[in-house]
Amino acid sequence: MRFFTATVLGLLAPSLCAATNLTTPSRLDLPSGFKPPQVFKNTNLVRNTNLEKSYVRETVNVVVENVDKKPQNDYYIPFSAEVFDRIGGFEVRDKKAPEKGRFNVDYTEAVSSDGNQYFVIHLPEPLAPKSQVTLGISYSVLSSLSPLPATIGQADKQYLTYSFSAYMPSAYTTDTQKTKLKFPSTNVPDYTTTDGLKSGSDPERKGATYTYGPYNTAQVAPGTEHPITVRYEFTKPVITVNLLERDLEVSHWGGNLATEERYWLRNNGSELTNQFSRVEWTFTSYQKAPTSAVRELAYPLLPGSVDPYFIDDIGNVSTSRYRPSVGRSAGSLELKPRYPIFGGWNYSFRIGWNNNLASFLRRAAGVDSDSYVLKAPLIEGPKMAEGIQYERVIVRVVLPEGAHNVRFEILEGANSNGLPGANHIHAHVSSLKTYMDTLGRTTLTLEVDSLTDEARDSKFVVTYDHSMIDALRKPLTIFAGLLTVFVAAWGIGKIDVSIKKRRVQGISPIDLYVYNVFSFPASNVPSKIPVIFKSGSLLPLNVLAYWQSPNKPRPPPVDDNTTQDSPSKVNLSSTRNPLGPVVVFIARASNLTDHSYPKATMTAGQMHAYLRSLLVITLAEHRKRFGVLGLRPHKIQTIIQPAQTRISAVSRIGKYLAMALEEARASKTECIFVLHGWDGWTTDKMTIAELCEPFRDVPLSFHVYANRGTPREFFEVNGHKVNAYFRHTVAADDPAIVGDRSTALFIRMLEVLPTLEYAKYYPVLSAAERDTLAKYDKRISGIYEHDELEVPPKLEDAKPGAPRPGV
Amino acid sequence: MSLNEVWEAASATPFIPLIAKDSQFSVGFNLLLLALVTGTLFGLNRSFLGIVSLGFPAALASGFGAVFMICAAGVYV
Repeated sequence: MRFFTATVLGLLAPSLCAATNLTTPSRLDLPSGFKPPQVFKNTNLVRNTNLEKSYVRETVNVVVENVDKKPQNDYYIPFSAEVFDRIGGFEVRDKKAPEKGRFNVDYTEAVSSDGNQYFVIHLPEPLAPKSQVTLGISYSVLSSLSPLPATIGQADKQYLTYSFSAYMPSAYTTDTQKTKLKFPSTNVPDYTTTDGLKSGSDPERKGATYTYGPYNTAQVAPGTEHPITVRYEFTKPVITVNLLERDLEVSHWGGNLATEERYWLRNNGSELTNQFSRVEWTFTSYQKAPTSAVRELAYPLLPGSVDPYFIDDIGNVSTSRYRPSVGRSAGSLELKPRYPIFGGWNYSFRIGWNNNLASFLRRAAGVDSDSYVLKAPLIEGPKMAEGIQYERVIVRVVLPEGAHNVRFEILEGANSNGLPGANHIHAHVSSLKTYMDTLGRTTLTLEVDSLTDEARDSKFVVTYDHSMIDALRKPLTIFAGLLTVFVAAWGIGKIDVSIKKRRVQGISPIDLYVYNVFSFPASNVPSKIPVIFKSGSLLPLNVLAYWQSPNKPRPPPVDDNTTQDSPSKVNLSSTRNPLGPVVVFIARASNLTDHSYPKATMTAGQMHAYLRSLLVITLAEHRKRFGVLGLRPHKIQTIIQPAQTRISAVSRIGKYLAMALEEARASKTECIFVLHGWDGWTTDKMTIAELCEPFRDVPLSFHVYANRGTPREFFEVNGHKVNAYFRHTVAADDPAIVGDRSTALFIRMLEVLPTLEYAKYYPVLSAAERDTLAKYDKRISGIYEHDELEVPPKLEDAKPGAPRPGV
Repeated sequence: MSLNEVWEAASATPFIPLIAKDSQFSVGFNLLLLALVTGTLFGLNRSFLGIVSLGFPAALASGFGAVFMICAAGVYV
């Protein structure tokens, strides 16, 4: 089905890559030995370093003056290569007009001569000679704090150290500069004091704020360093997210914005000196004492957030609490990890929730617009006092299947949003296949390195086109698939796979068996047939035309149009069935003693076997007399039933015989009942009537294998004539009866049999009655002996010693 | 025109789903029930007329019903 839909609906699929503003960050290559041209001078520089969180946040305000004779617009800020990649959210604005937005910034590769990498700030307008501009530069430095001591006890205080240069790294000469450090507390046990850099004490302390400088550095060469280290108490976890994967899934059908975030988290604080003590931890938790472990993460959720979940590698984490939003207030998801995360410990988990899409998605203005606008937070994340640093963030915006012409924009405000410039966010569009998708959902992926929770409030806007056909793809796919199943069910049902019709083209195994069992005199067999019999292989189609014994033409249909008892004219005038007539071999025994073994007792099964053995002889003799009557397998019916009793049409035997007649009717051929002996068939007139009447259109004949002496011979009897006689529609002296001697004989036998049976069972008769019966019997005998229509055998033709035909 | 301005300009046309979240289950269930009934009726008497009169609506109801039902189950497609 997927192939079908992909083929059919794929024709309507727009290109996924129709997005126009995707970015791939690149870095400028600088020549070896590169030095920034000395066209600027830093008149005054103030660096504010905030150490209140678990990462370093620096804000530098610098007054820059163009000392060149030409207008300049590229300002270089150097960092050593090992620090450069840990700087996140680098942003530069005009300090006096921050609302004008951030300046464009380029990143460079490391310069091989001094190992520095540069941020190249492109001023929006070239700075005229001797003009000044005040730059507000802000950035974070990740993983720059190291715990000292590196290992502590479970309830001990934690201390972090931070090393930096008293002189701000700069590519230009700086007249005056100072650095303000803001500590989380006043507990700063160790810090570097400078000597000779300035008059008076350095640093100057004021509460939790330490100020190094101001220094007069007009004579200090750019790049000069004066190392300073501070060590301060930070009994909080240093939460570092190695990787955050955030998925925003837009569903038009569900009217839902599903958010899922996967965190790989680590505490970069001091590791435990001893083994973890659950008792001590419980005690600390009860006291709510400060700890260097992550005890709980508070995650504010937007109003309207529902169905939150919190899963880690083991499964659902039940130690969480969700306080849903009330009205427009934010909800709060309080996550308590499965275990406290001490320094050096890792924890990975997954959280997710749903929002109504209406709060985040709008249809772009315009009549019948297929364009949509999505506005959502780029990063949310837990809100912790100690802050969180993200080494790598991958945000996937999963748009509906078929969305195209994707564009995105990161919102900028008057203040820093904690993100790098848009050209340093790696964005690409791909396809994501998930539930019920055929082509896959258009996915915009945004990748950012080195972020902090300063970016929590950042938002992005995505526009995309999504037509009605795109929207209907899912239901129409299922519709098409199911309709295909229905049509296939109908089409397959039309195919006729019945065995019956296929047999017209073949030969039944039973016929092959009959061919093999009853061999024929070699002189009577056509040349091809013995070869086939000996090889035992299947007969090829071109010899499937049935074969008849020579000199024994197939008897004409019993209905010779001389009477009205078999009115089927249509059947006989149409094409004869190539399979030949339907032939049923029938033998009957009156009871279980009706056999040739006087002292034997038989069960019903043995009697049926006995009758079948008689029919084998009958079948062979019939084959000699009439040849092979087509390819249709012969039927055999053995009956144990007294004479003169009716075989009901609804009995098993009656139905079997009727089925044979039905088959003959369906095949437009004749039906032949081959009877073993005069008594082979039931002698009940009503039975004959019940069989013949519903099948007046089917030629029916009895081949009675009986004796008028020895050997036995076959009498061909027209069944319908017999029935017509008994129903008094034909008189005994009718030419049709008189001319058909075998039929006439059969009728007479049936007429006399009841009398003979009666005489057998009622021997106490008067002499007159016995005489009458004897005469009657003799009359029949007379017929046998003096049938004038029968040509008497010529004695001279009989060769003495020659085998006589028959058994 | 920045994309944020496009967002602001579209403030009058928030996205309204075809079926609200609260109604997804009932709509999906009824459509699937209809699909089951008509599909079964078609299965009892497979004919070309049956495809048009029963199979077509069954497939259609099944397509939309399945989408709404999977949404109601929490898998927002």
